[in-house]
Amino acid sequence: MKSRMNLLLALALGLSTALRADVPSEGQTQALVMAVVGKASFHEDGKNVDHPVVAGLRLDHGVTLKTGYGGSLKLKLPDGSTMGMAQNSSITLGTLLPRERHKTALKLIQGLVRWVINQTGSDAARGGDYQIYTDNAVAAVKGTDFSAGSDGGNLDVKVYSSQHEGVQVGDPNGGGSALAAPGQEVLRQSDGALLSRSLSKDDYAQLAQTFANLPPVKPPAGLPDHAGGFQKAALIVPAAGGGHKGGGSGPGSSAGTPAPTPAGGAGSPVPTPGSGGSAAAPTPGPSGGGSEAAPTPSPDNGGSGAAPTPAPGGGPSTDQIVQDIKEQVQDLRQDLGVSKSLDAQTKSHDLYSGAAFIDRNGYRVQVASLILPNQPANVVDKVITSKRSDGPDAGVSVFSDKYTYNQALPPDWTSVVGQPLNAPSNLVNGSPTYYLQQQDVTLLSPAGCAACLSTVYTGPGGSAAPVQELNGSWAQSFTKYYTIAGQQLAQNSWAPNASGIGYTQTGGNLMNVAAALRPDGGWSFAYSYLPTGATSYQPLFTANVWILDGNGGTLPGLLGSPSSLSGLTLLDSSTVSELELSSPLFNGGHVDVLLEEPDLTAAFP
Amino acid sequence: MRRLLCIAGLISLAAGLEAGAQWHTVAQGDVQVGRAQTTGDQGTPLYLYDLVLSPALAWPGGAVLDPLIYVNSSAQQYSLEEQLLFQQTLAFGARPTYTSPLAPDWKWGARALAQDSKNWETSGEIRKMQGLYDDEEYGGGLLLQRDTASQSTHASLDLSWRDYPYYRSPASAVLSGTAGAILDAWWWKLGLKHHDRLSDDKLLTVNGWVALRNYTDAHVVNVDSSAGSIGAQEGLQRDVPGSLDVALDWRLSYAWAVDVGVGWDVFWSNQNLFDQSGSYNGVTPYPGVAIAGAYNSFATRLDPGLLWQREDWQAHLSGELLLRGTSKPIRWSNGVYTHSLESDTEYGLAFSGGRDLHWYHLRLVGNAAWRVVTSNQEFSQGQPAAYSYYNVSVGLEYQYASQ
Repeated sequence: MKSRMNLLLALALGLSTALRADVPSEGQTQALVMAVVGKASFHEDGKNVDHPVVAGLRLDHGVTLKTGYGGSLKLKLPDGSTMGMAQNSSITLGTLLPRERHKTALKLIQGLVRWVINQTGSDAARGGDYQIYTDNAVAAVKGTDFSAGSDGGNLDVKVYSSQHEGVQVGDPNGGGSALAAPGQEVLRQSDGALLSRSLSKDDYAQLAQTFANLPPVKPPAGLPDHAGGFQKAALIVPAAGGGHKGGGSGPGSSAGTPAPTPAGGAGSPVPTPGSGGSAAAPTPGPSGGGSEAAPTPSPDNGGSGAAPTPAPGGGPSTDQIVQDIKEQVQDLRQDLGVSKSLDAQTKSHDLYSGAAFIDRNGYRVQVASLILPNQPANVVDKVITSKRSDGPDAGVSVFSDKYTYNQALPPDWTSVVGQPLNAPSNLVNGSPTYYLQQQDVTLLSPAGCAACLSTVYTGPGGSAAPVQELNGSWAQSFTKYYTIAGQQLAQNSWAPNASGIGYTQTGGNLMNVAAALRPDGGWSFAYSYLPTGATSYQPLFTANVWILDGNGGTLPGLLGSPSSLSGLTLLDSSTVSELELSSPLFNGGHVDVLLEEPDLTAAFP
Repeated sequence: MRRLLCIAGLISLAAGLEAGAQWHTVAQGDVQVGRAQTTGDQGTPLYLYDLVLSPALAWPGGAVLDPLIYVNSSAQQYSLEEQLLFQQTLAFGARPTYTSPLAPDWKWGARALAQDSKNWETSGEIRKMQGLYDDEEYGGGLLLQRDTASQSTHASLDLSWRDYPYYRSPASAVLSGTAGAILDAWWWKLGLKHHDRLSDDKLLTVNGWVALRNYTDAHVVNVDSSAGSIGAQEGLQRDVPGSLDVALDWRLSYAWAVDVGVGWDVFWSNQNLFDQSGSYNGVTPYPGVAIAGAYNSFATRLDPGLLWQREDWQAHLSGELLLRGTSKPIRWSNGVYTHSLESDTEYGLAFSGGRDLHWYHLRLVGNAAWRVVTSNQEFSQGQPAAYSYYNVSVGLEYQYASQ
């Protein structure tokens, strides 16, 4: 027990060490990775080697971060602000030192980020500001909660917080800019055009959905459900030499109102290139246009912050569609599994019920065992069918054992069929009540060739009625007819010996009778015969006929010896076995005969 | 049926493009080769391939038509009584699915299915490849989906029809010597999948299905001499298979995650497998058996796993424990059958790993599994019924999604 505890402790320590191994040493002016979902990587300035991003990682300026499909990141910046990166996004960390020029700057290369800047009053008074910029646009921030999306030269900024004055979106080279006030969205298109509109409930819902790992923002009352169209944004005249300065408080929640002109002068902030920003290929699909459909979370991808790339025309985003397609694929895989499990259950069922087995050739054989009594009332037909789907013997084989009695059988026909003629229960007033008129054993091969052994009981005068022997017992004369494919090959007749003990062959040309095992354990069939006029016996079945026990031996009464069993595969089944009769007279076809369990030796596995 | 689906697909394609719809394509696939081996077996080569091409047509309003064409190869190993069977399946099919927004957060959909499966089987006992057989499946269904920020619930109801080429044949067809009769089985399947993102790092998944399957069975032999009722019957048989899985994924860090899954499988059948007569049933597979009982099974699964990833590498190791009880007639070592409970315990380990190659969306993957199956039953020779098997495979995986 103690050693087991030690082992558990060692495992726990090992796991703990392994988990901590990803956490580098702490830094003072570094961005801290707080949460990672899905695929995310970073590379350092000037290097092309990507490393995985792990929670707890601290990153210096100049580092470029990327999230893959379904990935998302949550960062804490040195100034205390937090940033969420949606999937398929890339940023380069620029200046991370608020104490230097009071500026924190990031380059948005591609995708969508949300920046939550909760500047305190003293911070604001100190004038700390923030920039997020692209190659051709910049968003200057005093302190707010906003998202910025970059795509194909467009910069789309949405301001959610009702505090601070908002985000100024403009041209880094001193061109026109516009203010995205709280509750507003400003889209700077690649051609420099500035458009704005008010946010809607859809926008807030999408924010919560996309950045599930950042605090949600409660939408102000009175917002419309869906965003309206864009309007031309009010331009801010740049002040000479001025940086972005936050002056005074911005307007409050101004949903549905045009973008107000900010109190402060708008500068033309010079972006601080993060260097090493590998310009990732922009995601196709413009971000402007209609309202974005609420995306579906992609739990299977582990993406809690999957940001959709909006599709033109207000339809679902590409990512959303791709995610939906993947869901369909997953559904399909599950359904394939369900179908297979149902198949497996059916097969299992078949084997348990004996409705199927696997023959020695490796083919699955379907078995049906039927008893057809009282058709007509003096007949009982015991039928076993087997059916293969594949292989040279594909098709149905039928083995039928049909008893025709002299009179209608009782409901419990089993008290008669199979009973000896001289059984006491069958003797009424000293003579047999029930006796066979005919017994037919029929094999029908898949090739359509029927083999039939008919035993017709005849007595003096052609009657089937038994005659009493000298010793007092009753007996019947009979003639066996062997028929293959409709051709009668042999005929043999027997009559009780005059002594009353045994039978004497009275005619016919059959030599050997024994081959097929009846379900009730008896044997009926022919191996070889003497054709009319011939002097030597001809084989009826030339191939091996084996019934194998578990020791490789054969059951009594059959041809063959263990030494001749080489090359044959032992059939090993607990329920049912098979022997195969093969004959050229069957045109190469095969006939199955079933061997029932009581006839197997105890050693049969 | 297949022709109709093709025509419908072409019409939809033309109509969609006319309406300004756009294509989005997902292509996934993997090809693996490997080996599987069971106790005492010589081993079986594994050839696994799974290719899905899904060029979806997306309308501006949010409707999506996804033709979803697939080729799927799978392998499974299972025990059938004392026969160990290994099956490999190759399925070709298409499942066009149409989804459309219904209300905020809600979508509905409809789908069709046409599939042709080809199956190879080997038996662990005789270790020979069996012949190829194939079956077909057609169906369709409805979908209802609700997706919110942190939850998604997808429900589906499908009706499938499937033929079983070698399974039970109606008695009349067998007795007349014709082999053309096949078993038609059709079933309803109700599926439910629910994802709940409990927090940033935890995801709860509930996945379940239940089916009602109907088919005609010829293998119903009723031999009851005391009642004077003896004969074969054909009748409508029913069974109800189902499965429920609950899984929790918990991401500890970027590199590590754990997942724990619990599942239940149930199979209920209304079939009585055995003759109710004790007086004579010489032609039944179980002579002398005078018991009646249905085949029902219930299984509980537990599979905890540990996921690790670093840079381009990813690895998943999981343990598996399965407890299965099957209520059915059992032949004991003394040859006596009683309706009893067969208890199986399966346990094992499964490992999968992969590495991104950064080359044409390809990824190197590998799988290995080892499993031990034990039972409260005995083999005929008297030793406890137990065996183990393993399989290993390596290959390439492809994943592409249009942007």
